[in-house]
Amino acid sequence: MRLLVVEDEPDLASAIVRGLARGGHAVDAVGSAVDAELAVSTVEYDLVILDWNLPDGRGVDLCARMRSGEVETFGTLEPKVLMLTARDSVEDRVAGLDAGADDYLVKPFAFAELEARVRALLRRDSGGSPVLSTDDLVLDPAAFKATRDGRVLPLTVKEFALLEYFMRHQGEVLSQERLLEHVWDEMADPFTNTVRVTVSNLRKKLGEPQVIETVPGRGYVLR
Amino acid sequence: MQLPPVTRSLRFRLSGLTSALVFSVAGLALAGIYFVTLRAVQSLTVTNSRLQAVLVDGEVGLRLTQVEMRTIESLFKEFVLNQIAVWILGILLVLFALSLIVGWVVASRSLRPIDEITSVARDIQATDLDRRIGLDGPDDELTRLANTFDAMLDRLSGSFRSQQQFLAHTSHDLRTPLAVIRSNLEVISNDPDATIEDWRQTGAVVERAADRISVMVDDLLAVARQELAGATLTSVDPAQIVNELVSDLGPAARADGVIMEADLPLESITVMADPDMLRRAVGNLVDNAVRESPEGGTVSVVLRRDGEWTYVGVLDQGPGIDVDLALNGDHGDGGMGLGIVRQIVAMHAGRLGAVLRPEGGSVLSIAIPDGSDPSTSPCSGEGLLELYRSRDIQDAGLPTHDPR
Repeated sequence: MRLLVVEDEPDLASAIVRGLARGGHAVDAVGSAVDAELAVSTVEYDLVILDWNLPDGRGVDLCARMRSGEVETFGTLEPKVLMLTARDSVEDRVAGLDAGADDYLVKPFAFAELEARVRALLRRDSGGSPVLSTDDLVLDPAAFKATRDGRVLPLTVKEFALLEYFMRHQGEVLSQERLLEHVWDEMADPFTNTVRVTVSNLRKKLGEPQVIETVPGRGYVLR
Repeated sequence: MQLPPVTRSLRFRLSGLTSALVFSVAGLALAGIYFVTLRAVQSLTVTNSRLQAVLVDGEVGLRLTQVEMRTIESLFKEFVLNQIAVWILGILLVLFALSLIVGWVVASRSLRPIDEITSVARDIQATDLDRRIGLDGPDDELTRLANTFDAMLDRLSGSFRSQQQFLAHTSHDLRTPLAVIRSNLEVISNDPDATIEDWRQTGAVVERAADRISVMVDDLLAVARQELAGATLTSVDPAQIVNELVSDLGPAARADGVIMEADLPLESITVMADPDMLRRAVGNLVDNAVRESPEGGTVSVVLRRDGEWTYVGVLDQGPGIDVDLALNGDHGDGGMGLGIVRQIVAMHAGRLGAVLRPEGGSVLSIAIPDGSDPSTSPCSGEGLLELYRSRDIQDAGLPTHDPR
């Protein structure tokens, strides 16, 4: 899943990026409200982690502007918003959630809790079960474990993230660009065949019969 | 012997005193009346001529012997004096009871305001200094006591509120470096592939965050000490403080690629301030400005004087701060560390100013008045920009003052 971290404290932002990237997410970080606006208007993010106090404005205002449509977000789906802030009063939490945030976490936080909340927010649109499953595929993001017919699949972080994205969008034809957008971060080179290579590796590990089909000229689909 | 508690109360003693006074005055009056009567009665002598005058029908020929007359005299005196003594004793008893009642009423009435003061004082907790006695009544000693008490509460709640605000700010600001430490440690410890180099980087991050925390804790301690001691205002040369700060902090800033300069007027300025506090406040602004500055940026510390206000401004070329947050941040200010600056500025009856520079960057400014009760308000917004842009005419052409 593609995440955006909006945090003006570089040491904190880098730890969040690193920790979430290890969980298989594609994570970008920006340090100001202006950069955050630019980022959400050019990339379809699944989740934005938003600091309240930014050097050039308030995260909560940015959230409200995104929700009201004043800041156009790229793509069809609005990103989820997780407020991450030192402000811990009940009034602030209420203000944050009422501004359109989906969740609220107070600094300093346990990283495990941040990861769990991110997982919880990302599964909201797909039924809410913590474990994803199709006919014979089962994927548990929290345990970083994927099985087919009970057989554990030895997936890399990227393959795991790719499979998770396919399973959340089962039956949809997903273009290479869309996969690149949601599973890879802004560092990925759009002109390489990294998507094709990862999909082919994932197919090998999933084994027969093939569940990921190629739709010529359009992309891939998980049946 | 232990007296019962009621006898130790002021009300008991006051009413005792009042009734004793009332009773003894009335008693003295009665005693006077008694003795006057006694003397009058004792001076009475019975003679035949007086008897003649008194007897109605003028029964001539009634003659009493001396013995008889003395007997009548003494019988009469004894009767009158007995009667008076009995009456006086009775009246004294009634007066005693009355004086007790009068004493109690007088004591209660005069002590009632004290009871009000006591009950308010008992209800006031350290966390709720908003209650006041607001005693009605004539301008007497007790009303003045209550008003003095209210004025003390005003001062207490003012300083308590500013201290609480500062505590809230600082503990909010502490959360950010704590979050940095915690997340970095958690992420690296859960990463089995972390290299020594990764750990080294994490160590550097944690060290930076710990440095920030210790600065905040120093600020907290400084405020705690200062609150106890109170600011000691002396005549200070702010130019000297600016020069010292620039030469102390300049080298470290230069290592980060930030140039620091001092911009001082030619005339000498003095201001009534606590030198340590002023240095700390300006130092915090400079620290902030250096942190916000891009590489190659310049931080200017500018001293100006206008009317009854002395201004120390720190100008940076960073991305620009949230002015509203800097001036009114109720819940921390995003790590700008302005809590203690606000506190110090308040101690000097000064004002904190913040404004964005049109050419990019921001100005944070401290204004300190000549006296504690200035008649004008200090510059703000555009005025501040204008003030810091201006240079003395004599100053034109001179290189920017830089102690390097």
